[in-house]
Amino acid sequence: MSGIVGAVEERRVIKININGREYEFEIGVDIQPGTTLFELLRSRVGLRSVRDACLGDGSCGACTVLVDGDPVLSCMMLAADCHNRKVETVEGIAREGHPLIDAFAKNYAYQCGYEAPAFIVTAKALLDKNPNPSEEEIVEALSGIISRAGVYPAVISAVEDAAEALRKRGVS
Amino acid sequence: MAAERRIKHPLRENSYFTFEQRQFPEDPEYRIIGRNVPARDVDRIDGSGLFMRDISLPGMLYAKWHTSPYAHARVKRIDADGARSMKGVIDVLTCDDPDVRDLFVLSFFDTQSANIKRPDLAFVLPCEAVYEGQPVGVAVAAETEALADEALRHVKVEWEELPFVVDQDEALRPDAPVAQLFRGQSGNAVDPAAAGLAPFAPWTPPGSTKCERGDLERGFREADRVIEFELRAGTNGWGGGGVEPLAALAYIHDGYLDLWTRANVNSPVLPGPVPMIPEGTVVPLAAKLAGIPLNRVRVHVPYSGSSFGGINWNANHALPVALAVIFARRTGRPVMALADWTSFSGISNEESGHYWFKVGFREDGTVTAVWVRSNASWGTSALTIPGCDKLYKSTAIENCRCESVFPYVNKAPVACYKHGSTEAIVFNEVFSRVAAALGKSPMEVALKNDGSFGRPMHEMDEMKRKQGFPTRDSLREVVTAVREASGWDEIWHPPGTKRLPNGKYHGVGFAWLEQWRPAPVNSVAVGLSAGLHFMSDGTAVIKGLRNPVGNHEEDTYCQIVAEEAGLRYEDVVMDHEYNEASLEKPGGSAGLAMNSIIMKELGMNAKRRILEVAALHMGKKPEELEVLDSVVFERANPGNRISVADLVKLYPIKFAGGVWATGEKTVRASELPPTPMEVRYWGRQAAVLEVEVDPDTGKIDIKRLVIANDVGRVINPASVAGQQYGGAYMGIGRAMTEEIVYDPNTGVKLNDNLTWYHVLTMADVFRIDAIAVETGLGYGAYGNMGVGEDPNALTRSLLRSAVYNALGVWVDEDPITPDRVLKALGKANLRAEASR
Repeated sequence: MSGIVGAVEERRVIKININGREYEFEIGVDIQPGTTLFELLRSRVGLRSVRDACLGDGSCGACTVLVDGDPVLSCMMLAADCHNRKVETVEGIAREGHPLIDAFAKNYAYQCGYEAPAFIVTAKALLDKNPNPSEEEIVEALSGIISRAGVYPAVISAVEDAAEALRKRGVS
Repeated sequence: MAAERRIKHPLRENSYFTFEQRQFPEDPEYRIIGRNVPARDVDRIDGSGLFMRDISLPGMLYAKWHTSPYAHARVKRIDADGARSMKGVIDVLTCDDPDVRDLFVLSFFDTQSANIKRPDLAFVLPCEAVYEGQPVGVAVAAETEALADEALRHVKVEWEELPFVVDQDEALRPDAPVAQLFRGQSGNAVDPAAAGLAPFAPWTPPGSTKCERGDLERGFREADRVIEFELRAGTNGWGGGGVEPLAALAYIHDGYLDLWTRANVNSPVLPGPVPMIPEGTVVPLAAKLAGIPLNRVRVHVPYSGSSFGGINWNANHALPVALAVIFARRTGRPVMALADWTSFSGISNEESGHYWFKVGFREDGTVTAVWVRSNASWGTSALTIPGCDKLYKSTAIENCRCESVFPYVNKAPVACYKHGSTEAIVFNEVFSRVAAALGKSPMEVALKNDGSFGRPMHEMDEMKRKQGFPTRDSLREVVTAVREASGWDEIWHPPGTKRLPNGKYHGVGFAWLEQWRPAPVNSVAVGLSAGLHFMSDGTAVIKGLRNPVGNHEEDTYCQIVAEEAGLRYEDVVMDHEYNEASLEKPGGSAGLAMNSIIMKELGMNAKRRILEVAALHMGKKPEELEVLDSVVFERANPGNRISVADLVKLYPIKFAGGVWATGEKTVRASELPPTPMEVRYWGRQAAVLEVEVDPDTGKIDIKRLVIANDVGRVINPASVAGQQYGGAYMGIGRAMTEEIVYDPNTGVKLNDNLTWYHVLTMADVFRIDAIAVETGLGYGAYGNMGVGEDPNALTRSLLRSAVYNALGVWVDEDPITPDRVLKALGKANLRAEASR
């Protein structure tokens, strides 16, 4: 613990690439050492897609974002630990025209849509590594996100559709 | 019956993760109705749409408040000086402040009563908390959310802990502590008659605690057999109050109040000292608290993170509004009130209860008498006395008595949440146990007892005809559908007799149910309206109360209007800011089906206007013209045409003000019955569930669900599908894993988090075959009826019969967790166990 705090104290400026854009945050000025990645993305960067239903106990999965391509619970990660790392949210994924967005819409893979960005970014991470996932692999990847409306079957279908679209594009 | 068309979309067949929706063929009469359309609200998921907590205004303050750490406690003293002295803390409100003292909002069950009976549960900021998690004591407004949190930590509260009770049976003991005093009453057992509360069901006498028909004793005498059993149900319902933590934003400026609040602004809310306001909503409350005339309140409704009826009913939803407005008035700044709680804090106590059954029946499966007694959640019983809804009104049982005692306990107030589970459990317990006692197929018993208010369904054809409905037998159709789709005749077996090679027992259960609520219950004209404005680009904009709860209702509205007006689907949109015209009365049941009537009328009125203007332009009579895909053409000469967009540009004055639908001229499949008693529930649902139960661990594996919902008419297949599989996952989860556990020593919730309160995830899901049956027996447009509640309520009551079929023992507690399965096995002589 002291090592982490020490590292944070020494590093006064945190550099994070968020959705392809470089940001700098000064600790003690822009953020605090205890600021979570969730708080930073919502409050400092204004990314609305990063949501929570459990008020930060890490159990709902709705705040999932990608850090260096891996899905993480942003409420469980300190912003300071993202120094020199790449963070992706659904805003970035939508901006690049990823077929997951259309696939979710086509399949009605959301109802209220509150947790849908978490499904989408996690699916993006899966498809980046595995362009042709089985249903079991999709389930395994996405089972940490809770949907009260139970949209799970449509999410599976959407991910499969997006995978197919990516294969047609020749993008893995 | 027409040949079935199987929709492969959205999921493939023959997979353990299959969802398959089947329905009848697309009707060539319609271009858009019954067909999938692209979802419009992509901004919900790509980060561009606004949810409540996304909104920010310059100079905005953040308000937060204490919640009770105790099940029952009184604030003795508050020292808020520490918070007041903090830089950045702008205002502190304590429970003895005149602005909040005696200020309360109504819980839903009091809406019938002008004399407010039960303010205790719904005080905005009381000095006494009657359940853990209740807002209490003190609220602050600060420059940042973090500062507001910090300020609350600097408030010293001295509590007086009070006796509590969280168990409903214990609450009725003579020496039980008083959980929360109901005005004018002395103990925990609420007397609705003394309270002047009217039950929901029109066939139940006002203030009564029971419903009754026939001669119960005669019914038992005429029975070949009589069985008695009991059942306990626990508390669950996470998410009913909204997955997104509650919030509201108020800004008073230039003589106006701008109010951002969550989906349904028709919450029945009144400030305490103010006389009853007819059709009271959160908006009059906000206006009163702001000191602003009602005509200067502007309401904005962003998206909301889940909403399952509770938003309409639970007074908790109005608390952030009240505090935001009070702080906005006091500080002169915009204030975002953030409820620092999850949906667990005010979790609905809808389902908990203790039920006793006595059922008489003949050897052929005909139920001759039912007596249901219950010690049930007060809120549920205020809506209906358990059994007095579905069992009473949608069966052929001639002799029936359902009665209840309603104890208050130290739990959060009840909120509707995909309502109907409790009624479904009571309903299916009767028929499942009768079928089991007789060794008969539960489908046979269901068909034997289907009916309406004590008369067999086959005697109801005349009434169906009189109301303009087809004489179709909905139950027979849905039973046939699930029987064939599940292969029931091959998979059903005597209880406890099918052990699998993996050591588990195979079981198959059946449940059925009426449609949850026909649309409309009352005259559709009451309070509903919508407009359609024509734009010069050829689009038409629906103007109605925005209610974006998440069932893609706006897409469905646009489908109906486009269909009827002759417009293209993509040319009809819904206004996201207009909130004047009311759609969907307070309450969520069958709201979309109700609104479908208004939308159909709106589309027809739009078509009439379009043709009148086109007739003027083309020198023809309106009846000589037709409009299709947003183009008007002459029937006899289709080449003579003009687009709706060009018409609007040429004749803007003719389209000015748009067209409106008020429900005065209702458009529906039938003539609306004039009284609530003549509204019958013709639609039915049925489901078959296959499980495997491990007798050593008690673990239940769900293998396959086949569900058939008579939705009357499918308008938006993907939306209907979402309600079917979504409701099923919710219902099975609530039947199997979801339960709030209260510490008997403290009354505090022990598992109010998503780690220990298990909501089904993708890893838990199972194969669902969902069948949408279309009989046209609903009162909505095209004969449609609500589907939202049915799959949840139906599947909620389905698991017990499947587990019984697997093990040969009944699990008398709910939800059916592994420990309860093992407990049931330990108490009974399991035939299958004996053969091990």
